[in-house]
Amino acid sequence: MPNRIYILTGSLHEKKLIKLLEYIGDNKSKISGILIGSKNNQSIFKKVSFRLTSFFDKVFFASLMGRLFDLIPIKNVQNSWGQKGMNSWDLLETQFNHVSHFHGVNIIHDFSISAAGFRSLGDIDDKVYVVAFTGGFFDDEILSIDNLVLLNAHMGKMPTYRGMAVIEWAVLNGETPYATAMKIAPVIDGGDVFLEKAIDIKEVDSHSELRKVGYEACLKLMAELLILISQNSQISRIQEGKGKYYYRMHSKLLSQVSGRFQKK
Amino acid sequence: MNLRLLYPSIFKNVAADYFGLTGRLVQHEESLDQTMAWIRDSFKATNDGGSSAYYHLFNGWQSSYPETTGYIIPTLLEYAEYKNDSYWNELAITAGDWLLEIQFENGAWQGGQIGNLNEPRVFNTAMILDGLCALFEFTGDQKYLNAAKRAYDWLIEVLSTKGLWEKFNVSNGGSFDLLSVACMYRVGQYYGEPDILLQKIVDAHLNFQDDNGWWSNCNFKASFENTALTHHLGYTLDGLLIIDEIRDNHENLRIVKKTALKLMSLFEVNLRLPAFVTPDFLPFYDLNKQKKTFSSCLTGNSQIAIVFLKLSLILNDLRFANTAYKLIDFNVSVSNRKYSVTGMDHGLAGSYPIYGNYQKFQYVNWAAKYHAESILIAIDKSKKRKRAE
Repeated sequence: MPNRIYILTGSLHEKKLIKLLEYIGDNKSKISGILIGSKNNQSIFKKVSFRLTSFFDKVFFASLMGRLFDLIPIKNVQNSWGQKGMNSWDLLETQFNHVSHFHGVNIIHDFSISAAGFRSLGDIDDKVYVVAFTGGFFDDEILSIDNLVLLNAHMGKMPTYRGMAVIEWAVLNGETPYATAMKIAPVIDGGDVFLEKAIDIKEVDSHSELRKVGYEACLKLMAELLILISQNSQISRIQEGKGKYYYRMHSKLLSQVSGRFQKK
Repeated sequence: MNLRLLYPSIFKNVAADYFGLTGRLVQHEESLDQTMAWIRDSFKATNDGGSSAYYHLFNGWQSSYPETTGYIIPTLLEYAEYKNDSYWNELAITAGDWLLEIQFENGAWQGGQIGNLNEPRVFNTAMILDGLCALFEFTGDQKYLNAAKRAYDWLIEVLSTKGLWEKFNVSNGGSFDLLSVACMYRVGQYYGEPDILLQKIVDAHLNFQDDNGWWSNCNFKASFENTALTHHLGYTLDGLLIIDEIRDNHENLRIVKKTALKLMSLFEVNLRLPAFVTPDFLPFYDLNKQKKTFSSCLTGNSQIAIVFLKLSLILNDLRFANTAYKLIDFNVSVSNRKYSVTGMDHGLAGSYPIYGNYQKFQYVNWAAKYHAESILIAIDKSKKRKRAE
């Protein structure tokens, strides 16, 4: 069964996409294409609901009330509870074209993020691997396609560091953070693990550096996995044991994480 | 439409909530001071020694509420220690003495606020015990403990053979009565009461928890069917942790953790805790089913934050503290609003938005109490332990 490898955009910033392609190196020719998801199909990703009832609601009245009475949107408070995951649909098509031209990888425009769209990526005999870096939330119909494997890279050891801000949580807990390349499954961060590797944070001296090192480790690991897939030599393991989930880290705890680097 | 909605302060309040606007997120300590100032005003409003049950947007301050005045007492004493200000100790003693004055002959206290539901009620009586024990521990005056013991005996007297309080009780009893038992343990430790009876009551109430960690009979009877109110979940879970504290063991830890993990996920996914929780730990959309909007119970937020802070310490699991800080942030920001009306100024409403289904249009003293207590615990200024020294 031949393997076909795709990278789904919307889950990678431009710089990260370029890095991934660089890490893949000469094996880039094995990438079947970069998929530019159609914005109309974004609804396939379940997003946190954002209530915007009308222009009057949001802009005029709220800002008037806010200015008059020193009030702020409750969303600001919620957003203060730590960084959100990556979500970049903002990469311009021209930038993709540039990346594609420079790296010699095909671009597939207006890719429909749907079961039909994913089925169209290969014949029934092909094994189709799609890098969907953020993990995302794909519907069950997509996840149940037999010959499709959606791939995610995550900054935590599985199954004990599922969820969000896990690299920070590992540092806070005094444990070594890991990069993990795995399959996306209906259980969030619960898919089979292909590769995992400790992230070296010895040289890290700030929180932003920690994130950067974490992303780089994930990109390298994903590149390594794609090379293995292109050589048909990847193996995976089922996650054993009970999963432990983490969530966005409050600033009180985040300052403890930063404090650990300052102590160094 | 109620024309009072057009009063400037009321309009500002309701409109801000409708448009999702809130006060700025200030330091927790600053919010604590604001909340305690509101509690002080609630005592001044009645002038009889008790704390006003709530400030109603349309009807103003209400009469004193014995139950919540009772459980505000330990918070007053802790705040006095934190601020090194005896004013709050005096307020606590005045409140305690008032409670002794209005105690029924049989040892119980009345159900509702003064002037309403003037009959003995189990849950309300039990809640006062914590305050009386705290006053006994602070003053050394036996009269507080004696009154608590009389109430304790009445609670035993009205217990059913099943180990439940189905008569003389809120909603004919429920899982929230685990805090009633905890308060009895609090008194019992001074009298060497047989643990076996209290354990029987605990066991009877543990049957309300299902395999998923959800609790039945954890809401008011007249409220939404088959939902648990976070305020009552807070009573239930904190009750179990207090019982463990007093017995110096962790027998209930697994039971509490099971529910707490589900509530953590519920909060973190929604970035808010719904007031009413369905058996599969999803929000019950009490505001609008079609638009999937729900209100939050601010008292429940604080109580769950308290439970999480305690769990974080016991389990050495900072995930619980992480969510607790966010829950406190939510209440800090929602309560950080200035009004020229004392009952509204920096008060904590029953619901957010204020027109939510729990204690609609009211700033309630029990929300203020639990908010203050959650901050005292978060900044490590609470005794936390209820075990007699």
